[in-house]
Order: sequence, then C-alpha cells, then structure tokens
Amino acid sequence: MDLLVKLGNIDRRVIYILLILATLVPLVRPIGLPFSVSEATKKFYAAVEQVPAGETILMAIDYSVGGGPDIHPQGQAVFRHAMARGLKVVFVAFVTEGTEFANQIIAEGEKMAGKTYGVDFVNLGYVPGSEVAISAFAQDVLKVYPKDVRGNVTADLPIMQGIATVADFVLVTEFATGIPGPSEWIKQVGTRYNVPLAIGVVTVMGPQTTPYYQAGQLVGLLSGLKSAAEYEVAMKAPGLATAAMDAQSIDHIVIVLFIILGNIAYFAGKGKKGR
Amino acid sequence: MRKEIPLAIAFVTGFVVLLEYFFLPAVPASKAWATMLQQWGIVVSGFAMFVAATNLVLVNVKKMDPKRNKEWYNPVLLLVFMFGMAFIGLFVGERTATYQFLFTKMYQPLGTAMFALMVFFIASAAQRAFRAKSVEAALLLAAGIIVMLGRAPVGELAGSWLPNLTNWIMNFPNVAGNRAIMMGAALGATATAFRALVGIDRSYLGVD
Amino acid sequence: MTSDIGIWVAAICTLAMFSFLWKENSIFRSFQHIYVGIAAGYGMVRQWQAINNMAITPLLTKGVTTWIVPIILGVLLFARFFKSIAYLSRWSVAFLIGIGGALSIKILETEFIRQAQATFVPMNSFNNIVLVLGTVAGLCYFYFTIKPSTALLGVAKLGRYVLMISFGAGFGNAVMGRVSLLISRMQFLFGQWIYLIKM
Repeated sequence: MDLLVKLGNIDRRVIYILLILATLVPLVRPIGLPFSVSEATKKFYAAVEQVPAGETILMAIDYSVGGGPDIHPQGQAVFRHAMARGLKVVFVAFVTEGTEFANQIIAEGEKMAGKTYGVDFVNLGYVPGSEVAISAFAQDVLKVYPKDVRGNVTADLPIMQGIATVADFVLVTEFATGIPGPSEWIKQVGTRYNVPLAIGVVTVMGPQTTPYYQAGQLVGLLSGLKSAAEYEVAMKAPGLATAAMDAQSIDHIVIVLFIILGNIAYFAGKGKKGR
Repeated sequence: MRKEIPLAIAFVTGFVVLLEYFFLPAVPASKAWATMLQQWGIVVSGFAMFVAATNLVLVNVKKMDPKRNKEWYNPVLLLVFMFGMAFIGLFVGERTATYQFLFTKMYQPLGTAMFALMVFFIASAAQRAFRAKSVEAALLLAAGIIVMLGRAPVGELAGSWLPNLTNWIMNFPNVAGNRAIMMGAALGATATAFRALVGIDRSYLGVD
Repeated sequence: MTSDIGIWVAAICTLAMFSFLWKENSIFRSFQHIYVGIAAGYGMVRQWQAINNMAITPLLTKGVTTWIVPIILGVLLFARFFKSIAYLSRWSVAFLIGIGGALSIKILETEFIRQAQATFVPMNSFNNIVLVLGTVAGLCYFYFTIKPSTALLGVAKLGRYVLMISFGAGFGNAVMGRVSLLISRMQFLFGQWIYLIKM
C-alpha cells in the first residue's frame, strides 16, 4: 500500500527523463503505427482538390514560432498539394513571424521544377492591425499590400492579375496559433465574402474551433501536427509529421500512465486514511 | 476637452465603420470612408509596436546598472540583439545570411523550446494534481484520457471504438460546451464594444 | 554529429531553454533575454516595412497626402512618454478602439446567431439531443441575471458536466500540441545535430 501511495510522489525529473525517452526511442526506431484520415482533414483536402488548376488560392500564415512546429507542417502540406495540382498561392501574414514561415515554405517551392516566384506563388508579407488589417485587406488587397516582401510592386506581378478583393481567390486558407485566428477570419471574410474558408489551427485550439466547423462556417479544419500527418497521408506523401506520430502515441501513453498512477496513489492513500 | 475629443473620435470612426458594415455596404462613399479608416488603422497599429519597443528600451536601460542588478548583462544582451536584428533587417537586408541565421538558428529554436517545456510541466502537474475527486473532475479526467489516446494513432490499435468515441466527444459534448462559452462571450464582447463606442466604458482613456 | 555552426547554435539555444527543467539558472535567463531582444528587433523590422510600404512611400513619392493623418495619429502614441502631452496619445487609442470595436460587433452574427442556428437541429437522435441540451445547459450555467430557481440550478449542473467534458477535451488537445513541440525539438537535436534519427 505504501508503495502505491509513493507512486503519487515520483520525482518530477524522473517524469521528465521518461518523457524524453518516450519521444526519442520511437523516433530512432519507428514502429509505423497506421492511422486513418479524419473527416475534417478529408474536407480540407477536398476543398483544395476541387479548385480548378491554374486558379489562385490564399494562404494566410498567422502562426508564431512558439506553436510553429505544431502547425507549420500543415502549411507545407497544403502548399505542396496546391503546387502538385497546378494552383497559384498568395501568402499573407497578420502575425509578424508568418512572413518568415511563408518564406520558408516558398523556399521549397522555388526548388520545384517549373515553379517561379511571382507567377506560381508570392509572399506579400505582414501587415499590423490584426482584425482591422484582415478586414482592410479583404476589401482592397493591393492598397494594403502595395509591395511584396522582396520589394516588387504587387500590381505588376503576374500572379496578382485579376486579384482585387479577397473574393477573387477561389479558396481562402488560414493557419493560426491564436489571434488573429478563426474568429477574426470568419467575421471579416467568411461571412462577408462569398468565398470558401478552410482553417488550420494548433492542436490546443482544436476543441474551440470545432463549433465553427460544425456550424458550416468552415469548409475544412486541420488541428495540429496530427492533422498535418493525416494530410500527408491523404496526399500519399508521408513527411516529418507522419514520422512524428509514433512518438506522439508513446508520449500520450506515458502521460496517461502517470495520471492513472497518480490516481491509484490518491485512492490508496484515501483508503488508508479511511481505515 | 481632454476626454471629449477621444470619445468623439471613437464614436465617429466606429459609426462610419458600422454604417458601412450593416446598413450601407453598397453605397460607394460609405464604403470608401470605412475602407480608408481601416487602412489608417493598420498604420496606427504599426506605430504601436514602436511605442512598445521604446518602453522595452527604457525599462532595460534602467536595469543595466551593475550596482543594482547582479545580472546587468542580460538587459545588455536584450538590447544588443534587439538593435542588431532591427539594423540588419532594415539596413543590411532580410535575405542576408546573418538575418536568416538570427531568425532560424536562434529565434525559432528558442521560441519552440520555450513552449515545448510546457509538456514536461503538464505531465508532472497532471501526475500530481489530476485526481478524480468529484464527478466533475472524473468527467474532465475521462474526457482528457480518451481524447489523448483516441487522437493519437495508438488509439486505433484498440479498435475503431476509441477513435469513434473521441470523435463523438469532440463533435457533440465538446461542441456544446464550447458553443455555450462562445455564445456567452459573444454577447459580452458585443456589449463591451458597444459601451466603448458610445463612451460608457472609458477604461481605455485611463478613467472610470 | 554535424559540423554546421548554425545547427550547433540552434542546439545550444534549445538546450539552454531545456536547462530550466533542471532548475532556473542564469544561462536560461540570458537566453530568454536574447529571445525577447530578437523578437522585438524582428517586430520592428516587420512593422516598419508595413508602414513604409503602405503609407510613408506613397506619401513621399506619390504625394498621397491623406496618409499624413494616420502617421500623425501613430506619432501621437509616443506622447505618453511626456507627461504634459500624454493625453494626446488617447486620441490614437480612441481611433483604434472605434474601428476595432465596430468591426468586432460582427461577432454577434458569427458567434451567437450562427451558432444558435446550428444548434437548432431536430431532436431525433441521441447525438442531436446531446448537442441541443448540452448547449442550452451550458448557457444556463453562465446565466447570472436572476436568482436561480431549483430547476435552473439543476440544468446548470448538467451544463457544468458538459463544460467539464469540453475542458477535458481541451486538456487532451493541449497535451497533444505540446508533445508535438517536444517532438520537433527532439527531431532537431537527435536528427540534425546528433545523427541518431534517420531523417
């Protein structure tokens, strides 16, 4: 009984070391646990799949470095999908770091055969103002972004021909770690313009974003690294997100075990007191 | 006049934007004014960052005194990196190796590692404090464990029931709970915005 | 192990942050200050680019004089650093409050009316009953306007249970997200720095 009670007081450093091992071992020796693609991810994938080749979509990269690894693979996967389908992608950001993340995605695009900056993709960069900026951008793209991040005049770029308002994109996608996020985009774009909106969020935001998806305000929803892995599987092109899923599983098991041990210790201790 | 002018500014700008938003979206003049005000808003917001930066400098210059602060070099480091990054970005170029180095080799790993630390604290706190002491706590615990196992690939090993149960929790009780919070917060946010626009809530002016 | 100096610096930054797990230490604090420094410097670059492209360049090169107004409002924000004219900074704040407040009122449509509409589903299945009753009970829990009757308290209690399940789902997802961040750091440390993981 005493041993059980002691389980409730494991040194925190033991927990830390076990967590590190639980992450490292499956990364070094992958198990390759299979997983299915969720409904919300399938819908997001289908939304990109339905855009006719040659049309332009918007990718708003509104994530910061803190949550980056949880959501950046989503951005990369959607961009690869768009490129494979022959779509054009315009990147914008309403969180400062989004500019750099978009540059990192574009760096990959520039290595793809037959894809050119300014023709197949462009990074318009960041503007401050959060919700106000999204609203202003939606109304007049060129006024808010007279130049792209490389100093080109936006109106002169081939990819920007025919783009005046946000309604000129065939699909709007946004990836968020916080504010601005789904709430602001649904308010300023989703309900005001006749354009489908699909959103990716960090895992933490998944539960609070689901009501929008369930209410039909979003055509697709990605939630964290797991959804990125699902997207990679849907594209039949597994990447780093898929490789992370074994470690994700083992880590969850370890944390659940700790919680269960803690509870066993609690009830064991309570039983002891009761006697 | 010190209070009246800002109150008038908030009221008039808010009114112009609202008018276009709800009543006259098709009237060109109303649209033009509302759009212009929002574009101005972007520029003013941009300046706000420099106010914050100025504040950061003032606070850290004070902390640089070796007599009062044993770790006086920390504010020095902060300011060196702050002005270094700004200088390189603005005058040397964003596509230079040094700028990219600062962002990808320092800023990105530091930020991610800082947030990654949280998992260790969550795990150790959960082990110590996450106890099924009441019905509420038991529901929270059960939902948490099911979602953790059901959303990870390992949940599918147990059969389709665990992922299905997870999806059910996410799509029904979770939507109901979050929707209740969302609807309540929406009413609150609308009231707060309205109070600020008409000048009932003046807390942003630093007065009650 | 790599000989790339950039990877080494990134690894040192990661380990400096992780050193907090052992205990709070001066190396952690120094790197924390570096982080804030780079963040502020980076922020300044981004804001300046945006203001310059949007307002200052059109004003100076094309003579679009209307941009003077927001630039003046922006500069007025600095009045807060001077006691005698500090009140002027409120003009700019009021301007932002006016626009932001007006735009945010749209929340009534997207997060109240549309959500209520989505909850109006026929109560012909268990799932729909959970959705409708759960939402209503949750709302009752947040209802503070009148002194609650016994019936309302009962419904509110059900609401509390629904909210607890939501928070549980939130907790599960929060853990999941943080684990993803840890994995990315481990992939970096043991994949790019020490070649232990095959990338």
